[in-house]
Amino acid sequence: MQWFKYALALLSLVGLWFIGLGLSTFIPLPASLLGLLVLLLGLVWLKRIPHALLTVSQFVLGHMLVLFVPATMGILLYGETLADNLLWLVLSIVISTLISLGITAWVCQRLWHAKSVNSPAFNDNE
Amino acid sequence: MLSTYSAQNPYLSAIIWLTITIGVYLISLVIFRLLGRRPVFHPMIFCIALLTIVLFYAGVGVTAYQAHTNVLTWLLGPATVALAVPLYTQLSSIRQNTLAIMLPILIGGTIAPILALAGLYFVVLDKHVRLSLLTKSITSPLAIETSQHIGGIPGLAVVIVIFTGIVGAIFASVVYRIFKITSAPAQGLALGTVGHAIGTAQGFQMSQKIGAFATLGLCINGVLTAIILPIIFFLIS
Repeated sequence: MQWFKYALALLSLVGLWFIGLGLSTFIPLPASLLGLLVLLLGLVWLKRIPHALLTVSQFVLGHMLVLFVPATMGILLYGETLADNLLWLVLSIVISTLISLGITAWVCQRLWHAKSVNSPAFNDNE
Repeated sequence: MLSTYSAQNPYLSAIIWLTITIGVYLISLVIFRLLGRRPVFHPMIFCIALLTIVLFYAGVGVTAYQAHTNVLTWLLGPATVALAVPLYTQLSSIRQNTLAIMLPILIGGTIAPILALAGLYFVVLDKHVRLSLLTKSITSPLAIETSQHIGGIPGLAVVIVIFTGIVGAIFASVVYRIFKITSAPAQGLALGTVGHAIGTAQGFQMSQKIGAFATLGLCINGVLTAIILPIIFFLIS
């Protein structure tokens, strides 16, 4: 019976994606994003997460990496096409990623900190 | 030998290559764990290396391999829908810290592609290659579709997305040491915003709290970029 629930939860994710696909013909947004928003609205309406859905989504998201593998192998395809500029492309992506990672985290930490200093509830921590 | 089978039966070759892919993924996870779960030895690196060897000896091209394992790439869509679950659990945290969550994501989501493009300003590149860089910090299924909308190359966009994610996952702890980032929300949010699903997986490796905030960054940045980029391109063109 438990397996049936898990299968149903998995199928509902696929179903929601198809709903997203249907919606994307009217709304110019990615199907997976629309499916996500539909599920989010559904959860807000339900006010709780069904147990089977929680287990299944944790499993799927935990092993999402395997779904990236075929697309990743495309690196071999474009490696040759971009050979002339590959070094610059790689350098530019690495550096921009590291800088934006640092700045994003820094801004978040500053704002979070400022908030805890301003709000009286957290004053005792200082 | 495998390639002769592939020509005869598409279903058989799909099953064979799916099994090989999942096998390679599991082996990569084992290697990653044996080497002490260090971010430098990201499982994806071993996946690429092992599969390249397998494809070479099987005499199967990357395009053929991608066609056989197409179902995995397609499943990224439903897997992205599942992100609604961790997002729902963080809804109250979004309400309480709206500014501290939204502003860093907006900043990170904007400067990541702009910096990448700026770094390539003097390099001669195809226009479609440049456009493929714009989706570099959002999760693959959104990047594929958004890239199609704005005129990038979806296959290349995904490669750039995954490369960005691996770079973020590997160097996050070093960057946080340099920038003196100690708070879990900040560490997680940045990992998810810049490194999308692969950064988020890394976040869950660091701690559950960092992982939860990474999910938040991943979702909100993905949603914002997927909404804003096509609108900007619609306005320009």
